[in-house]
Amino acid sequence: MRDFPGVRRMFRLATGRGALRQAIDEELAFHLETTAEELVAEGMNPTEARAEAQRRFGNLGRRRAELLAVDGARDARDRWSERFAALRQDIGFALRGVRRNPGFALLVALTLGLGVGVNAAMLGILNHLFFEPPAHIADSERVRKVYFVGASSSNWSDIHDLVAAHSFSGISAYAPVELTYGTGERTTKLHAQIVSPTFFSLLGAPMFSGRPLIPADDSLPRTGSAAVVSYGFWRRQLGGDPHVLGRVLDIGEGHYTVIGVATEGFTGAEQNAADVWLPLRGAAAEVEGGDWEHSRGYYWLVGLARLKPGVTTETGESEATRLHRRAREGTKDDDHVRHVTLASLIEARGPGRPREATVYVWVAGVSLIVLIIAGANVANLLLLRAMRRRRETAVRLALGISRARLVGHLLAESVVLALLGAAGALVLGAVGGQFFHRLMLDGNSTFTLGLDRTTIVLTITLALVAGIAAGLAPAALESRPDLTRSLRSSGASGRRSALQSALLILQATLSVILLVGAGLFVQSLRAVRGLDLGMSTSNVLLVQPEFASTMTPARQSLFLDDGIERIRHLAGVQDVAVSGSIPFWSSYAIDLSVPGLDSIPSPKDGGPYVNAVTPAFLSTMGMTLARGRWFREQDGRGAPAVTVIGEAMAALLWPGQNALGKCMKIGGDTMPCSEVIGIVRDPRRQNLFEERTVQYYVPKAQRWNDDYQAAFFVRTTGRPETLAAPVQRALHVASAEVRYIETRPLQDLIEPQLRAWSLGATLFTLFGGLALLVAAVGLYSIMSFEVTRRSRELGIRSALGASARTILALVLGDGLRLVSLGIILGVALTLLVAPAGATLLYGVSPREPMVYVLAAGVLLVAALVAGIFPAVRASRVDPNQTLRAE
Amino acid sequence: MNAPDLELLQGTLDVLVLKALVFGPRHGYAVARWIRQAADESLQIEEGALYTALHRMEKRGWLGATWGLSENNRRAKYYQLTAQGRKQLEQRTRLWTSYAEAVFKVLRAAEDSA
Repeated sequence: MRDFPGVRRMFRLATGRGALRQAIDEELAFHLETTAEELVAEGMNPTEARAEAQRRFGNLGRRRAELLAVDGARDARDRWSERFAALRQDIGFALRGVRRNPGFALLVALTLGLGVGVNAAMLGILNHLFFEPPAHIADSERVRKVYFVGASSSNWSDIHDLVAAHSFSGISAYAPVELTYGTGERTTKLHAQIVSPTFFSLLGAPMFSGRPLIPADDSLPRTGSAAVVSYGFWRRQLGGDPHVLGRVLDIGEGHYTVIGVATEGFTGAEQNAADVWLPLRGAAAEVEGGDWEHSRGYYWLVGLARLKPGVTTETGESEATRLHRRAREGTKDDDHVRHVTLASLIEARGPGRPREATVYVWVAGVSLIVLIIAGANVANLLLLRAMRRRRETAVRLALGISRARLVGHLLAESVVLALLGAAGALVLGAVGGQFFHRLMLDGNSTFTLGLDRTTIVLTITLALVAGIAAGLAPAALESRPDLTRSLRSSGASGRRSALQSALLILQATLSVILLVGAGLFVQSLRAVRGLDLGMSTSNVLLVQPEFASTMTPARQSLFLDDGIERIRHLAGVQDVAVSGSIPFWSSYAIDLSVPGLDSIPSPKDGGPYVNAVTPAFLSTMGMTLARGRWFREQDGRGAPAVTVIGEAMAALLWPGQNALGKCMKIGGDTMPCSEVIGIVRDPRRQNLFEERTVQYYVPKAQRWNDDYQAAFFVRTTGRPETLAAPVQRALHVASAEVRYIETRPLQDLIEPQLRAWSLGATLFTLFGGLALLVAAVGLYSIMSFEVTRRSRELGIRSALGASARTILALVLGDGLRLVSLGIILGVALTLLVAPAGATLLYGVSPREPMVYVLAAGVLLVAALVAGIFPAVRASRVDPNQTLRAE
Repeated sequence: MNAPDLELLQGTLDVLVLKALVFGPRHGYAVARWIRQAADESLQIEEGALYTALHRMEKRGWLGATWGLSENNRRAKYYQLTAQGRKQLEQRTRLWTSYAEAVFKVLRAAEDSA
């Protein structure tokens, strides 16, 4: 009996506490009265008969309570199994629906999957950027990065001043550096962090094996110094060697003994991976030179402070600021603007927040729009199906199915579709994750967009929320249909609801926002890429040799000259030059005096910067000579000293005069005159958006010293990467004193500065494209349905003499009207919102009309394409057929 | 009375009630009357306990219940065996017979040796 849910109700048996009690009472009353009647029939008087019946029955009150308890338990159990059976039925119903119409299910799963997948990915990235501190740091909220005057890099002296602060339980410092690993041909680079002795104790991270660096390690001489390796480095590079402790590694020019392996996932205080940790005293001299401990002029170390329990960041900051100002008193940097900031280890939440982080927040908002569009589309598809099923639903309602059960069916369907969407999202995530990762994050980032638990939970939750939200609209519509009308009419019926039109308009509106965003970012990217850098950075390979410290400047210089000859003859090389500094990377300044000027006015961005180059530099870098001449081979040692200056320098030193022929004493006023022989257009020095930097050039043959950061620049005919290997081979044989040769396209140095825009352009375009596709599919489905629904009306029109063209225009016009309304709303909305994102744009107004026109045009074309097929089908309707079909 | 005895008694009542329903649907009063007559009035059963047994077996799914009209034209709750109840009756009948036979054997053996 209990196998069949609802049967108790069907046979009007009691359920519910009150009804149960009533039934028991009725049953017992029947028993007692029948017994009494029988006794009376046997001749007992009625009063005695009732008493005898009661006696035979026993304790009536206790029995009633007992029966009620038994029945109550049964009733509760039946209700649960009824509910469960209903659920099973709903799910079975939903699954049958999927099987019956797999195309529909696939469309919903894909649409939802796109929307959800994109959001899960973005939320994952935001979570990583904004909420995940570096792993394995004890009580990481108390560990703060020390910023001096808004910059995270500082020096040992400034950080050391803070040791006296009462607010901190510890002070430490580290510098992330790239060092060579190994020797000879097999040398590679690794990411090292050179750390002060208290680094590990301050962070309080556990070790995988061995011990962390302790103050005793810092006093050792460099040879035989200690190193902690990361878990990842140990697995990848050291083969997971169980006897790794005590192994000696060649890092940079030193030898380090492995004393410990850090716990898996530990990256120090950075969100980027590190391979090894080296003691400051052992490694700093190689990286920063001998005077690193006392100089306040270099900025290379990051300070860390751990706040004592109960001490607020503000208290710590004001004490640190006081100490810092006192220490700087009397130096030339003694001024009251100096202050110390204690920032979160999470970079995006500190003053060092990269521009990309802001872009991510916007993109996350954009991905939410994609989800809304996808959700609206799914809702629309479900609505369409609900309308197609109207008759079926009406029949079921007429047969007495409860509305609650009907809504239950629909929700179960939504859940099943949502789970399909989640599956779609996970598949897309697995496929697209790598793409997103490469696009969005630093190659060295520890973040991986994998199928971890958070992502899966997030994906399923999002899919369920979106799926159920999308399912609610049709559920509301479907549970309240007009029974008689639906039953009488045949097949698909019902007008397109206002809700459907609204959903369609919403999709168009949001698509406009995305398309305009895409247009603005693409324009910005083009503007940034089109910036006149004063040089041409594409097709240039940057080659940086790393010299052994034993190599004298003279031998270095010989190697460079020799290298030019070796590279010049390689296939695919158009030009090659040597330079003493690298654009977007390094610059160099020395004393300079100019006869006739008391002092050189100091430019805002520093300088004047000097660079020593070989004659081919101008053509290799694609720079432009404005006046005079450039260096020639003849401007060598012994020839008259010459210099070429930038336009900004000419304007600074000799405003309104002819700079050519002037004298500059490079290196100080005791030096001989160098004659200005030419003026070039200023190339960028460090930043795409800097003001024109004051800089000048000297021939390498005339002035070279080992303070320069020597590099070859190779202009290639093809892709610069292809020459990396040949160049390395050619240079390696040239000298055994060159420890490592790093090659990369010069463009790679600029790319990080472009990332915010390329990111915005790519993601907005991608999302805009997806939104467009989804909206077009939505429009197509709705119009197809409309044509089917109106086939009778269209047939009549056609029979009455409407031409195919009239009908085509009629149907198409209907769809386009909605889209146009959406476009108008979208444009208006975007005009309002866009200025808020103006800081992310470059060289384009957030209200650039062309972009808006283009976005509207693209959307209209998409709507036309989506609408033309149903419209053509409508125009071919045969009135004979449709009218007879009714 | 201790627990095993009570258990035994309840089990006994169950099997009697099931047996009473073998001949078709009956209401509680009819079940009580049939047992009384079948046992020739030799079993003293508290009729209330009968109802507890009926309801419990309904809960277990051995009995089904419907409301119907009695011989004297009143609404009464009729019980009938389900397939499960029929199986229970067979099992318990077998169990009871072999149990009674065993006890009987022991008692007779005691008589012989005495």
